[in-house]
Amino acid sequence: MMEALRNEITLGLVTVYLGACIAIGFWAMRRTRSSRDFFVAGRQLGTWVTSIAVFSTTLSGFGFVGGPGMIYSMGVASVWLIVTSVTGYVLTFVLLAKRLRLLSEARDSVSLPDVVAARYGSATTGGLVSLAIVLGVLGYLATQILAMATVLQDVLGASAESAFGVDRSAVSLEICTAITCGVLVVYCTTGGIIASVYTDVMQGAMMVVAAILVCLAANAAMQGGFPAIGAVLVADDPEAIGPWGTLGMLGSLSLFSLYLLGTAGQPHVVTKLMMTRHVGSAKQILPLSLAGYTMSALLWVSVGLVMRALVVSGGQEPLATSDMAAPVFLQRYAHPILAGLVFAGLLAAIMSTADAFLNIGAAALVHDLPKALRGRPLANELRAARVASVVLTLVGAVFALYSYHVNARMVGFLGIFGSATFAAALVPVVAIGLNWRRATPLAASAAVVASLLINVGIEILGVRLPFGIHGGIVAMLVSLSLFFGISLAQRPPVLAPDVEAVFDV
Amino acid sequence: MEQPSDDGATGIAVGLLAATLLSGALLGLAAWIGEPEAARERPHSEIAGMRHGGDGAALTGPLLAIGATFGLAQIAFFGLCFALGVRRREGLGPWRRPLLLGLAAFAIVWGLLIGSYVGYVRDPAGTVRLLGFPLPTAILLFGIWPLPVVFAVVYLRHFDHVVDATRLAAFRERLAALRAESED
Repeated sequence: MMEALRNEITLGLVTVYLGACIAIGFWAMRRTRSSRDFFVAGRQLGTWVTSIAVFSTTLSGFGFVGGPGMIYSMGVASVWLIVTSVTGYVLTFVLLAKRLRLLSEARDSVSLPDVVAARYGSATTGGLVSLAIVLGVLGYLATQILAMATVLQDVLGASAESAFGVDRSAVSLEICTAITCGVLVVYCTTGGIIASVYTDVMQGAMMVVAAILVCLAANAAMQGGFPAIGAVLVADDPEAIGPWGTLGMLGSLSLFSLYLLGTAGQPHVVTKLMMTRHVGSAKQILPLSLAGYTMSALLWVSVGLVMRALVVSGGQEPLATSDMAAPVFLQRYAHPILAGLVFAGLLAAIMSTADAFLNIGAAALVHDLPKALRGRPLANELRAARVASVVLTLVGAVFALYSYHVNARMVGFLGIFGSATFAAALVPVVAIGLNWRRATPLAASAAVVASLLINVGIEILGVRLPFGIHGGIVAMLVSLSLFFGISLAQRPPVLAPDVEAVFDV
Repeated sequence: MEQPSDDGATGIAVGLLAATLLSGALLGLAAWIGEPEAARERPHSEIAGMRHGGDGAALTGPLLAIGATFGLAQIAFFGLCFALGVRRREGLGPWRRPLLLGLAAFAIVWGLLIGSYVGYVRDPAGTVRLLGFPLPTAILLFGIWPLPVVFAVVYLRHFDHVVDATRLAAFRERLAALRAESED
């Protein structure tokens, strides 16, 4: 009975979930009275809300689709992304939880570039960071919009086919992109970051439970469970199930190196630390978000491994693309209600992450760049931020459709560019700079410029590094070397008294 | 204006620069040695869209040593960043001992992973398995993955040293005084 109604159950849960997200947007609108509320939730987030928001915003849609797909395609290599996230969380809290929160309090900062400009006493450095953020945000946003439109197309197409006998191709990607943008615009412009974090709470809490159930379903999908899965994979390709996956040792270690510190440079994650009510709540937020992330990551690992083993053993036909690993698993091997919940959670994850990026991008456009260029933000900042959110959504949608129809590399390029640029540009400038008085504005600006140029150069020139080494690691190593080298070569800077006070705590 | 001393942090920053340069040099050396054809990742021979890892044994020798050293450099980098985040002007205080022990544990587990991988590539089918995973992968999943939790526990145990109530109150007082001064 349930099996026969699988598509309807999925569509029903997805509809309820999207409705709930929009309701959260309108609820959050009543709590959003200023740009400070819109960008940093009035610095009033509690422990549980921040904890869940931190881990669920890290996972986003990639954790549910891209992660299992990477394991299906490359074996254990992508586990390094999860492993490093744990070390990355620890370093993010150790380096940033206190100083980022206190400096944003001291200067009433609403964005990361605001904090950077205050730390270095340099509008230029703040402006360069906001430029890097806008470029990275566009890439991430296009990725999220395309992912959400693709999932919607799958869900709506399957439902249209089973309910009305209509060919599923009748539901076009353009229609789904329009629906995606409509929901995003309503949700983001009304509720700002408050809507995003409360959607994160709903999605994150559900995903922890769902991930454990999915892991059990993965174990049951193959006779003999995980031991049998391991045996099949070793027999087929020992390297794939070895510690480096198919990517190889140096390729996997480049991911380890990039994301060991890279988490501390992801603005959608670290800005959450500026939003807490009390600086001391970091003591609870770190273990809660670590536990939530680790449990949710079980979905990533278990689904990817079981789908690879099922295909290798002939129990499942090969997937059209590796990103189909999770959707196909959910449709064929998970209980319909569990599948519906995970699909709905996936859409919520994409929405809340897209909202977080829209928020950061809007802050950069209406607050940080105008401050860097003319010394003050735009008038009526809240309204300007809402307009900027709409504009960014539309630009993101154009990038997404352009990538789909004309240049398939475009979104992937922008997404990788965004992630690597954030890691290479923001880690030295923010994570190290807030803990080392001697870091200078020139060193920080040089680190941002170098990371932008190297990441763009590697992607545009199509440079392929040996051993599958991630190009972002080159940008990161150069950026860090310049940051440390230039700072050590210059005279120590004189810090503003309030910045000095933050260092003294 | 006289700049306050920042002695210990700059020493750590120099260590971080050294770890960064070492990491870059190791990757450069690996690129110079070159990628053995047999070890190169390739499409799976039977399944489209799936990758095959090549022959792991072809990576042993100097490249394995480079990878192992690169991993140690990342562990050192992690430890130095942790020290940079928790230190005070007076030094590392209660963090020194647990941090050194944690890093030593990290390095030992890393060594076990590398050692077991050498055995694994020689005889993949004969390797010990834990929950179906070959030993080196099991060490990654059940050793390297949860190990940073030790550092989280250490951080939480000494959290009052990080966010000290007295220093926090002094900070807020100083901030209020600075604001009052600028208003005048």
